[in-house]
Amino acid sequence: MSYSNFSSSELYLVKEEDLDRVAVERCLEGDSDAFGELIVRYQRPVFNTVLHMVGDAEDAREVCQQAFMKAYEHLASYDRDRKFFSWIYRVAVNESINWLKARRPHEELDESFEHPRANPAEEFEELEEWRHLHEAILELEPNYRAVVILRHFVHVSYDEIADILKIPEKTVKSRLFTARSLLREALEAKGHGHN
Amino acid sequence: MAITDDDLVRQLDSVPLVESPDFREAVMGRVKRGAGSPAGWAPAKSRRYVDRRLAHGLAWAAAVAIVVGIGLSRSPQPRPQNAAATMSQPEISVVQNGDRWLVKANVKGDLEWDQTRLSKVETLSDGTVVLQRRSGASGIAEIRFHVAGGEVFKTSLRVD
Repeated sequence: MSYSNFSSSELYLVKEEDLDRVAVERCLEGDSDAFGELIVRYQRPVFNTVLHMVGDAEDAREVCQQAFMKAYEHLASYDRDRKFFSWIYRVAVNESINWLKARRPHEELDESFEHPRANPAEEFEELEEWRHLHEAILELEPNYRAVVILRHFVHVSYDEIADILKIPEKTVKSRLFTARSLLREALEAKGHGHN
Repeated sequence: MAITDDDLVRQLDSVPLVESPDFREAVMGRVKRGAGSPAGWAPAKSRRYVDRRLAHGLAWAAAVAIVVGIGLSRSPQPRPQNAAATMSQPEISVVQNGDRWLVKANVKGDLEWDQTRLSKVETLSDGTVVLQRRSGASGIAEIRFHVAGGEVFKTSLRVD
């Protein structure tokens, strides 16, 4: 037996979507541990999405956990003809928007930057270099914020964003166009443009 | 001072993904404490079944996708453990996910498997065959792949 033609790229002919599908089916058959596999696979992009939506790492942790719980509890309603990641992103974005709506009106979205909590998560320190960008994003309406985050931070395609947000692809593009215009204005107003 | 859309896109695209906390333990802890269950939940399984499932879950933590067998036929002895090897085309991959195995080949052919230990769940749209360990099955299950009547792949899977 020879290993001469062995290459790692040949090993993963099975698509991640298929693994998701099998994990979902196992979960629905009573194997709850299968859901743990899905969490591990998607927690990083989902956490980053929520983090930029809500603007605070501790809140993001809470919202993310709630999103995964909600996904687990409603797994049977997930349409298995759609990609699992689209569905879990949708749950996470909706949870983030619900959290933002429920937050007390007098709280500023970027408060955590000015007044870090007692135990601030370290994750946001990694983003310090992009603080001005993040602050500008937090000034956007959540619907605009979501398209920017999905497109530019977790690199989801237009059609997949449309699927996640349940809006037409042309709406995704127009929202993104508007969102970037607003961001440019905000950044220029704060003096982060070019001379 | 002006910023172009290209500049902005470059800035946005350069924002790194931060590491995520591990949510699995917290979420699965809540799940196991009965905080929730998916609608359509199957009847409760036996303790032994649950323990086996837990072991599978832990195994999964080590690797999301473990390739358990890629090989070519006519190896003189079946390999009695999870293994990976290939010589040339055609390529066949076997990926374990809990008590299921996803078998995919890049050529058309016939898949044979130990039907006393494995049952077929379905064939996915891309031709991937999903096999599942039969209830109570243990030991080694052999799978073979034939192209135009000739065996081109054989491997052994430990199913317990």
